[in-house]
Amino acid sequence: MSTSLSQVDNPGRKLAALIRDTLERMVVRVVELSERADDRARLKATIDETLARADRVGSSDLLAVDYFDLLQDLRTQLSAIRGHYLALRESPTARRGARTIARLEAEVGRCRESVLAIVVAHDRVALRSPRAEAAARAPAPPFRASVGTPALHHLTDRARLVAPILEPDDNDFDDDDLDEAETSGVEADGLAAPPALPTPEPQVGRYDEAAHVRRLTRGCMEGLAILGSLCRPGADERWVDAAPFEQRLLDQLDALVALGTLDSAADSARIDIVRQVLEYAAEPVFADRGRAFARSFALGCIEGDDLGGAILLSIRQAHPLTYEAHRSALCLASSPAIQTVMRKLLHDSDPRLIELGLEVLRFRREVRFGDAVLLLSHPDPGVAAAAARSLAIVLERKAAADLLCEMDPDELGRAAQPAFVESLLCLGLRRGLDVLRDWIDAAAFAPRDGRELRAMVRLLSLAGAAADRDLVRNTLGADPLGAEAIGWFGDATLVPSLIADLASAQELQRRTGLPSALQVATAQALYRITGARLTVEPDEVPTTELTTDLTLDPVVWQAFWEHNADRFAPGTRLRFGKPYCAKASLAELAAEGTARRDREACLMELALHEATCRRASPTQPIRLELGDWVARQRAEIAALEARIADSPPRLGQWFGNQLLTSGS
Amino acid sequence: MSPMPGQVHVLAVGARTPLGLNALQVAMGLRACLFEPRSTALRDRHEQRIGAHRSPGLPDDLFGFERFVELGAPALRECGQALTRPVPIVLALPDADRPDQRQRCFDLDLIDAITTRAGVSVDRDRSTVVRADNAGFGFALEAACERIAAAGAVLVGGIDSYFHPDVLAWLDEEGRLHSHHSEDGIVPAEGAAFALLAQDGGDPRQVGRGPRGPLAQLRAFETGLEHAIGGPTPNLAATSTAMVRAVLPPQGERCWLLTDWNGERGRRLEWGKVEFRIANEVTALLHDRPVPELGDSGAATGAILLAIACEFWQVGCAPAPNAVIGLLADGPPRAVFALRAAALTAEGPTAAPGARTEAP
Repeated sequence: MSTSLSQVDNPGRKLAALIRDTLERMVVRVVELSERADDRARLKATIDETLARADRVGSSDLLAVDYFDLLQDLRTQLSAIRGHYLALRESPTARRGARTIARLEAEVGRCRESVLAIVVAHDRVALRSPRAEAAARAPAPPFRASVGTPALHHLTDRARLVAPILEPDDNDFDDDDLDEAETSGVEADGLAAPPALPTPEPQVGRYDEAAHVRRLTRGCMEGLAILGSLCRPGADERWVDAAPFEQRLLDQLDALVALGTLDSAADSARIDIVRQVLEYAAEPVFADRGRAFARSFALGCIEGDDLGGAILLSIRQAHPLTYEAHRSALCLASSPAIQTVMRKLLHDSDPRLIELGLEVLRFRREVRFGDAVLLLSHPDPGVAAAAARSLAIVLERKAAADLLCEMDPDELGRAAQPAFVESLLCLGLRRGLDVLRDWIDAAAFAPRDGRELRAMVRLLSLAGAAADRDLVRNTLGADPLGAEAIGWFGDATLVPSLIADLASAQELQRRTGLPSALQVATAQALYRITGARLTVEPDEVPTTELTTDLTLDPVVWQAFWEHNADRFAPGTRLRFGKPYCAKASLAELAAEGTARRDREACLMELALHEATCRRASPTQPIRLELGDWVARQRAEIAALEARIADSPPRLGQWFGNQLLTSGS
Repeated sequence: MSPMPGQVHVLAVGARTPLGLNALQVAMGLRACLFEPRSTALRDRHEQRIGAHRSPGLPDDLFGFERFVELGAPALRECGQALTRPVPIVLALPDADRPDQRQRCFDLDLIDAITTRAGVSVDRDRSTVVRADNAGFGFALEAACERIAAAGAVLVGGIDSYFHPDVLAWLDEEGRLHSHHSEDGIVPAEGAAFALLAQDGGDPRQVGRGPRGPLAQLRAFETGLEHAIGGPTPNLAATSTAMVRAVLPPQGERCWLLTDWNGERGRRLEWGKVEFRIANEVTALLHDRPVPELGDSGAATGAILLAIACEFWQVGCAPAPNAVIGLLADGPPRAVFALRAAALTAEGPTAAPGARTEAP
């Protein structure tokens, strides 16, 4: 009869996790310890061995006959690492490292005492854990293909991963390298090759199966690297057109994982796919966003807590130029372990990594309220902004609303204020509108960044009240984004001024011969308000980047307005000629041809609708993310349709007139 | 319709092609378009290097019988690993007049070699080899069904490799190799696949059910001859249309038609006519043409397509629960067979229509 002990109760497992986490943090700083490569190589080998021993302790049964030997081995290994650090004691990093290792050694001693207490206190029968035995007996889940979204793959009999370690010689970048890499489009990644795999013995006969699988594996990884960027649609591309590229990416993932699965005991070509991915990603001596994406995405779709550690380590060692690729991959990957990994990143010393972790957690709707609150006061404006954005999607909406309501926006850096305002509005709070108005008013006296100001005016056009008409109209003046904002605001009384802008801009067109961005944006704003699709013949549409089939002739629009003005009641928010309702935003969001920028505005309006119409029973935040898988977006849109059908339509109203005065 | 000996189930499959070392890898490799033809050292009539889709794991100087064994044995081992007693094996092989077969006609000696290498014991007396070019696997299924009543279970498969200097030279002489000079030629490839068939009602413990249970049901099969081939009358695809029509799923069910359409003019025209005629007779027809992404595997094509269909159902990315697999020989033989996915699993063996994606 088996006498295995539940791993949940195993103090050795916690110890192993602690040691892994600590050593992985220290690994990143190995480069600072010594300029001598052989010093680093010795330390690297010792850390590798220690991680392997820690994993053995973590995965062993407490009642295993050699359990205490394993603990002793682990302690010896830690002492060896400490010895290396002490030998390099002239470095402050080495002195700190030696102290950290000494604490780990003490932890091993405490673990030993705990295990002794458990073993003595319980007899063997009582210690038997049915759950662990059942888990040991459970067969591995069958392989499932990824259709629309990535499957969470299980690789049976996979060897646990020992951390790959940075080799600094290949990764010493200076700013010149970065500039050069940015301009050339090829850049560096910070991971070095993990230890080389032993080549499997070929099968009896002449079939070199390992070579066969390696070749196919490489093809899959190259596919992942290429498709990682191809499956993100550009600003002027239809969002649904990403679906075939996404499925191609998923096909590559499935094929890659399938190459790591062989059923027959006689198969000699069982390739460690995880190591293949790490080796592939570590090949270049320059940062490669494609490989960074391939690594994080592939590891992020395979089950295994050690892979979480590998992801964490690879991000910590990655070149900053690849952070965006890692972020994108981890947002889209399927492993629940990513949540734990990203939470660990929140305690990193590098604010860019904290921001990365927060953004991934926000995308996956896994941000904890407490984490967001703590990071709101982070000195780095990027982190504070990410934390402020995160508060809009936490489950504790009332607590988040109360917190944000009481905050002084000046406590945050200026860069975080737009995110702060957006979150207040997404939580349905009037204070967000007040801060937004103050921010825009202040721009008249203190120069603001143009892009920020435009974004804030756009936000006001979506979330403002009827009384914000003049602020929306006048802040940006004759500016394409100002015209666009007026279109979103939807006040028919602004139509004459738009037609006047069109006439003024026509003067400029007469001189240059080409339509301006202002003309195009104004015509589109008129269409967004009135729903009048006054078009020109296709052959009259100029072949420039700024193109629309709407007429740019102010005389035509003026004639339309003279005959139809009384159809559009003042004081009603209009969208395409009809009183605005959330269904209009959802329909535009779901339409296949809607541009990314317009979808962002629609999503904001839907968040405002949800926040303002469910005061009594706030539900979960909207899960839709525009960068998500098309299949998941479609599912979320279907869910939103049901939610909106269940809410009052409130035709023709501005959200600003419906916001709450507090979170209660 | 050819009579079926009761309900026949596919209990296990095994495959080996340049796309992968087992059936799952081959199916996922096809889905991910891992097809990668490479130049060989052999040159065609125009002194250009011949391209082929061949197994990266096999040496380039390994031809003929030994290459067939290297391809066939692992596929047979994968398929037959659950067998607990000897069963007959029916093997589809290339035509006997092909140059490599003329040099050494593989027969039961090939079966002996692959079964020994695979460690699978078979009932040699009731085993046989079938030769009908691409259509051979359909005739092999027919032979298997003849044996299944007596044996309870049968292994059926196909092995082929065009990677042989004499075979490539022969294809080149006939203008059938895809090249700058022959756009509708084939990309020669190689592969092997096997299926373990068992009759419903038999004792599954005697043959082993495989680790995953039944994968599919062999619903129907048809074999025949297209007499217009080589004759004075044009080939209007009468035989193949009638055969496909005979095995179509009931109205209201989607049909996934997998054919050996390989880009050659004859097959392109014949499958085009079949598709045109039956299009209105099925609720939704998806004509899948995987051979251009597999390479032409000759006599192994049918077995490979069967293994791929079963794997797609198992992992949940097949476009329909019914598959019809059509095979045309260069000469008159024609074969069609129909499969149906095994009982739906909890998550369902099929994906939404169009789950098998086209390259964007």
